Amino acid sequence: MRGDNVDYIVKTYNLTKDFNNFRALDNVNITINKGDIYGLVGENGAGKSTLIRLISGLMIPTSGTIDLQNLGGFGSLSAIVESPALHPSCSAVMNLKLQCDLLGIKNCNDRIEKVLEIVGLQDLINNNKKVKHFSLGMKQRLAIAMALISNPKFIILDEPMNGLDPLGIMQMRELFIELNQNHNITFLISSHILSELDKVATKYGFISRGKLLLEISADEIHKSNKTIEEFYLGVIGGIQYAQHPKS
Amino acid sequence: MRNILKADFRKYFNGKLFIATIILLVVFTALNAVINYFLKLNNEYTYFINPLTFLEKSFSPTQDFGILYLIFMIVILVSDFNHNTIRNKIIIGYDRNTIYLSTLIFTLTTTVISFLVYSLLNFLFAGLIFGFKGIKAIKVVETLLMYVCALIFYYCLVQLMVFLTRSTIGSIGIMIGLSFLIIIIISSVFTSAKLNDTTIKSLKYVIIFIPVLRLMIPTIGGLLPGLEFTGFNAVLSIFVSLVVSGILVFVGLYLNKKLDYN
Repeated sequence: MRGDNVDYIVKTYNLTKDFNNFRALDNVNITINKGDIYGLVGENGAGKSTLIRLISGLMIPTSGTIDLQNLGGFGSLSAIVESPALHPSCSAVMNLKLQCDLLGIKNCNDRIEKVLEIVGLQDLINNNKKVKHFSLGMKQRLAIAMALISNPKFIILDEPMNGLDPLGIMQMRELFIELNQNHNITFLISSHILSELDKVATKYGFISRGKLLLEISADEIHKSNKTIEEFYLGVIGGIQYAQHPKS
Repeated sequence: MRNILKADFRKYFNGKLFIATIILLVVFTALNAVINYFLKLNNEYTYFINPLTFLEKSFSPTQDFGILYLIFMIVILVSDFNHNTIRNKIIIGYDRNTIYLSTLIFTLTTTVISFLVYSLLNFLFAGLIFGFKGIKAIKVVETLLMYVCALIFYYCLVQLMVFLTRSTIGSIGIMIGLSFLIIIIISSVFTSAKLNDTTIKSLKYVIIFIPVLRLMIPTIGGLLPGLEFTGFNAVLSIFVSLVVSGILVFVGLYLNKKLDYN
């Protein structure tokens, strides 16, 4: 029943997405509660990105609904889908100013300084270096700064660790935890790097071939005395994993 | 919508293509003035040229400023898709109609202002060279309104193509291909048809009801001095351009609501 858990920030009801004759997502029901760092896990082509695009409003569902009523209004949701959405010919500050314009934020200089500090890019405050000359890690962090400028309640990140070096991954991880704990931001993160997700996620959704197989809290996985990889293979691989445990 | 427009204009005024547009505008105006001066000096084609023909010519999307402006505008519009920055607008919470309409307002405002400045400068310089004799103010206003409305139609079509193809090459190819195809077809009709009063009257209505043809008049109209639009025909032409533009906008809004953004 809708509204049965007021702590949720996103709920989907029988969410389905077809591309011509291919069903990318099949009756998916997920619940993301306030304060969660929700790890969305699945193989390539499982439907993670489709689910993220549907929740972000970028795609129109074939059927089913998405309940975001507890999220709040305009600007409460931020998302980085696939690659950072930045204007490459503009500086970091100009990108943030454009985002402020879209959000209707006036006199945003203080806010820009604050978010650049949060993501560790304070050196760019008085720097006109164009975004196209940034490293991937810097672009990711700037995209997160853009996501933060609206003081969102919920941030969606699609494969945020992709292409980052080990230091970049560590910095991202620390940033997510800091934003979750100190700024009360709920996260939905899809990632292939299970060991990294294991360090931040409080809840998991396992998705395969367009179907949500299981939603489970990180605590429950830890209680099972299995690593996240073992648990994932157990859920996704099922019988195959039981037959070939070393594969 | 105001916020999206603010962001779009800030990006435009800070971009290189805005400066490039101004440079093109100045260069082509100067070039036209120099060419006109030499035509006058050599007394060539001057029976045919008057400042009004230059006003009309300035709106052509297949000649000098027009064709380069078309390419620039498509590059600007597609960049939002190429860099995925259009996602930011959707994710923040703007509905798709607001995004489409604000983009359209941005496109039409910058386009109409650019072409008005360009056409009036050309008109002014052509007038200084050939003289303004016999040109009535009402005719200038009438011509401007007809061409601006046809331009609005053309750029409604440009935006629709951009939102459907999301490709720079695709949109440029379609728009330039379409423009030249129309010129070829109309030129063929003109050269093969018997140009009596009935033919010209029929062509007038074809041009009225297909506004994009109006922008090709510098070519067509030049061949047919009798193909003038005044009074009722001018008003009808303006009205039809606006109605057809409105239909294009509704088609764009409808399709934009159905399409996925990757």
